[in-house]
Amino acid sequence: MRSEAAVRWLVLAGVVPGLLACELGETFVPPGQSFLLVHAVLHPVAFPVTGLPFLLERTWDGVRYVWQTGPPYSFGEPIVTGGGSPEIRATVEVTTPSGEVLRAAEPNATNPESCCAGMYFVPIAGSALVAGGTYELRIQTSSGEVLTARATMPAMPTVMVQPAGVFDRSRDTLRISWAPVAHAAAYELVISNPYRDVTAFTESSTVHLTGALRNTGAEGFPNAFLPGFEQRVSVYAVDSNYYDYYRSSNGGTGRGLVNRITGGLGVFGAKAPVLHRVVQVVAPFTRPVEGTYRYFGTVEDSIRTLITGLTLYIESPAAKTGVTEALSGAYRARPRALAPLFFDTAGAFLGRKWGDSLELAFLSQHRITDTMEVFKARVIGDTIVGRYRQRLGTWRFLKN
Amino acid sequence: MRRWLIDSITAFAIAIPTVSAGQTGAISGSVAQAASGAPLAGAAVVLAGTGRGALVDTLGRFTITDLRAQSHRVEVRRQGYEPQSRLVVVRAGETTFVSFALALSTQVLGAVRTEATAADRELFLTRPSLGTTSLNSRSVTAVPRLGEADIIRVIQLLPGVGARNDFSTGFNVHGGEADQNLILIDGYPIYNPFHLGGLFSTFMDATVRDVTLMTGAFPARYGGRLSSVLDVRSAAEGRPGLHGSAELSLLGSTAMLSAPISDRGSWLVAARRTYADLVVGAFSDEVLPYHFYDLHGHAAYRLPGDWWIALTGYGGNDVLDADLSEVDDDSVAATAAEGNLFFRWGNSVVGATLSKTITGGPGADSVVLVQRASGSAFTTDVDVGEGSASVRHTVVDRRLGGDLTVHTAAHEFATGYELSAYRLATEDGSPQAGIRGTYRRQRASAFALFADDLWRPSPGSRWLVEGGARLEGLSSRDGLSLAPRLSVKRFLRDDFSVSIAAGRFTQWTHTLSREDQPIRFFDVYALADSATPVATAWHFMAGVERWMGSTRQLRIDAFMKRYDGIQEFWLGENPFVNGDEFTPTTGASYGIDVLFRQYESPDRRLSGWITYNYAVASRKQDGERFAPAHDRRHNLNLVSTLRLGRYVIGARLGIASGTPYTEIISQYVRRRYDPINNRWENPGRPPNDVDYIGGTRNGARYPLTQRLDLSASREYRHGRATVRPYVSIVNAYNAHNVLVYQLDYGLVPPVRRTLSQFPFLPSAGVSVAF
Repeated sequence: MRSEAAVRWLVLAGVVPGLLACELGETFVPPGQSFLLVHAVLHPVAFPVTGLPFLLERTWDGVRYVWQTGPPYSFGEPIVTGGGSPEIRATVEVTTPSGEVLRAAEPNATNPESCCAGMYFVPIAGSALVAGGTYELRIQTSSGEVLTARATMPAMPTVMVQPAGVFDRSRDTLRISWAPVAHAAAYELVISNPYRDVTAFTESSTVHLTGALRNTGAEGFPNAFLPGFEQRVSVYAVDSNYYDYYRSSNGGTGRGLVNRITGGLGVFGAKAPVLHRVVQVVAPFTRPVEGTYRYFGTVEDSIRTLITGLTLYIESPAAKTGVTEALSGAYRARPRALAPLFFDTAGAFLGRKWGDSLELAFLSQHRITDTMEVFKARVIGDTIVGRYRQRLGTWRFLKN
Repeated sequence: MRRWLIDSITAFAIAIPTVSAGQTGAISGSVAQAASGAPLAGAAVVLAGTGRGALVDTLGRFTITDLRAQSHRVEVRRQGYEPQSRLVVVRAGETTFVSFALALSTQVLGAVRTEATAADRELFLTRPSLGTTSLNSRSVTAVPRLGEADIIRVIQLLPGVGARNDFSTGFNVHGGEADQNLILIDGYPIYNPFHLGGLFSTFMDATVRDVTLMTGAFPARYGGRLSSVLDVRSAAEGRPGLHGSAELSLLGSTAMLSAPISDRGSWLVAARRTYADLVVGAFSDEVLPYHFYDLHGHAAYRLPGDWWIALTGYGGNDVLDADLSEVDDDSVAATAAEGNLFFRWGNSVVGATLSKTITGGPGADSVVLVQRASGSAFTTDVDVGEGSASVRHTVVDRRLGGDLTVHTAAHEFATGYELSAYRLATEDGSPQAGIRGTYRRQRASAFALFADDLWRPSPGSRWLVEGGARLEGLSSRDGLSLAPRLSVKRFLRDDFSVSIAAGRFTQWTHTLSREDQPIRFFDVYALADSATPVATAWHFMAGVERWMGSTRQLRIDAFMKRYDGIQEFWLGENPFVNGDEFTPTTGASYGIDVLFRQYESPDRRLSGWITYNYAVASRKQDGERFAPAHDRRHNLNLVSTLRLGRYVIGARLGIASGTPYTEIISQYVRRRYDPINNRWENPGRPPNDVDYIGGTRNGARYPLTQRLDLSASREYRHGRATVRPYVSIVNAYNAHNVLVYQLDYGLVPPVRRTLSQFPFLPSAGVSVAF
């Protein structure tokens, strides 16, 4: 949320060149250089079974093919499906403050190209991390390149898991404070958001989040809080490596990144959770179409219906005539036993409305990048009538 | 010590003497060019048969006091103008006012035929300074323009000056950074006088009388910047009656009104606004959420006692207020959900100058007293998502200054002071989240004392020597700084001189700008303090100047500069820490400027200039030596104006070697860890979270650039009104000049996209004057 990002956004958006500059075409150029790139974060509540996932890859050089428009992103294959070139068969070791050397494992060591390429799991239980302790990372590739870094774990306070609450974004302010954490370079605020998480660094130990907050890290600056969504607000204490890496960047001039990795670039940082709070975002119903809806149909159809109930909000009204209104809301699906495997039993949707037509995208895990189903419908009085993209039939929802 | 000095100069300011009128009478008046109404500084006013007289000051005024109550014949002469004389009656205890308007002339002085004398010719004859060039508004208007005539775009074509690219009206002088130029409007500093990322300057052509650029080793009265001084002077109406002008261009419109105030002064007001936003809104559903505007006013008035007061006010703003839900086309996700982007940046200047010219007196031909007070502010306000992220920056510079100049036969001695109070504030963060990032408040005061003497040993002497020094101090830094200045000119012949000059210069306002970025929207300033030193530079210059007649000039200047303590914004600065914003940098530059200029005269239709600049600049930072991004080695400009009756044809050809840039050699995706699920988040499709890795800093250079601009206008006269439609073409043969490269190493083979500077850009407009 750093404001410099806003300036950069404008510059990159090319407001000025866009007015008068033009593109002179494309030419092929010789390959660039490739550097070792590591993304590794120490975190105390990681699953001890799998260990902490570190990512090792090579920066783009125009020689290795990078999947930019390939298949959907896979959390199990984050580098290959996330636009990267994995570095496999490397030796990844973390030396703990006590001198113990932990060697990371590749999930499929015999054929690392087949799965999870570039992922290395460090077998360290969250509880084993030492507050204030310095950890050393050493990576040696199969070709002999060596990359090293050091990180100091912030203190790990007892995580405050605050009870879920209702957050009316039209009038509420979420006040969050926490006790200062030793060895923390800064605190990272993270608000889950369907477009991408809202993140910001602060040195203070208190924040006041209004319902009008926008996600300035996402394209178009959508609202940070969306009615109908269950959103998590978290605070982490982070070390200086993490803070420096994520607050800086090279940008178009190729300079500016604060890199603490020797022999490559990236981050070997540490973050400790301080606080988690889940809020159920709501807003007053002020327009006729807003409200709660329940499935309405025959008993036979009610067994087949995907969605049993909706809470629908006008997330943002149209800015001018002729453009759509933005919708958001929550849905309830059939019980797990009766729902398709991929479908969450409850969740949130985003959509749009124009005239009496609307379109709803039901999201998996509240992420816009993972739409489970789309429902196109018309509003007829107090009834929404429409069809799913992947299911036959016409379905009705009646306003309560 | 510092307090003592400040007290002393404050006392000096208060103690500037006023001069009583006496029991005899006086003559006071103004002298202007008949054609343009511009003040005619340097004209000689002589009372026939008395040996008394005065020189007209830079505001076009003169005063001769202590005259016997009788009729006097007042003669006004200036080289290149028809002399005038008038019988003036002086009454006891009264001041008689008289104004003159001199017409251009062709004179025959002995065997030498002289034409209209240019201000540069005056400079050549009377000043030893090097690298000083002046332009009047007539010269500026004739240069092809993009939409609006722009003073600073013309300045970029002068010797010693370069620009990063077509999109920038910022300029670099003798290898210096763009923030090292002191830009003055009527003597008052103005910060960041640019619109739209530097595409246009804030100066409206119609309001400018003339500009003077000093590219190095400038006199001691100027300080606070390392590289140059650009002094922009407001126009003053010398014609009787109300006059005005309006200009309509594709970009915006400018209107100006001016008139004399009886015979005691004049006023001028002007305004400009771009209207592309209004046009787009009126004729379509689209939204162009950007405009800028300028307001400029200037007045000069002669007070009782022959004091003159001159007031200048300027205000301008750029406003980008984009509701992205209106701007974008609708797509899958409703853009109604999108937020606002608000940029506003602008500057304001208010200044007043009180002055008096006293003719005669013990040991002096004339004494000029000037007292100046001004306030200059530059503010930026960036807001994303209605307070979700914001940057606010303000710099306020309040100044009090004064000088006293004593003219004698051999000397022009000036001494003065300058007191400045700075207030800078920078903060960013997220008001909507209650998060504060950078928070910096700086308050400091600065003082300067200067003394400067221009010495011509005897009336016929071939030597001109100007020496001086500037003593400066800044309250946020310990210690005083002494900046000596010296320039010496030797006339080998009447029309041929050699000069040398040297000086030390300081700068305590630094900018938090990324010099490597090709386009800068605006500068954010910071003051030197306990953590950030004052930057210094030494200038050494040598030059020769030759005049062929009075309208052809050849000037060759060589320069060398050494910088110490230049402050470059460190990109990795921690917003929560103050004092880590800059990386100290040293540097040097050297080169040669060549100027051949032909001035306009009644019998010469073609005027213009040819400049060639050769400059080499280098910087050293943390042991690494590199060429700064503005290091343009060769720069050739040909500017010409051809006047054919009522037609004016303008042309400008520029050819320049490329500037350095850091070649991008690799890219990578920045990934974020999701600690809740112990996995790595989806970064989204490129270019989301893709960052760039640069190679050797500024180790590559863009190719040579070239551009031909053409313009033509015709003048129509209808009664009092003059209508002048014009057409202008920028980049007439559509040369493909590189602005920036965009690389994609995610493709095999990698691809480089080239963004151009100005393409072929025709424009048209009309100006009306009455």
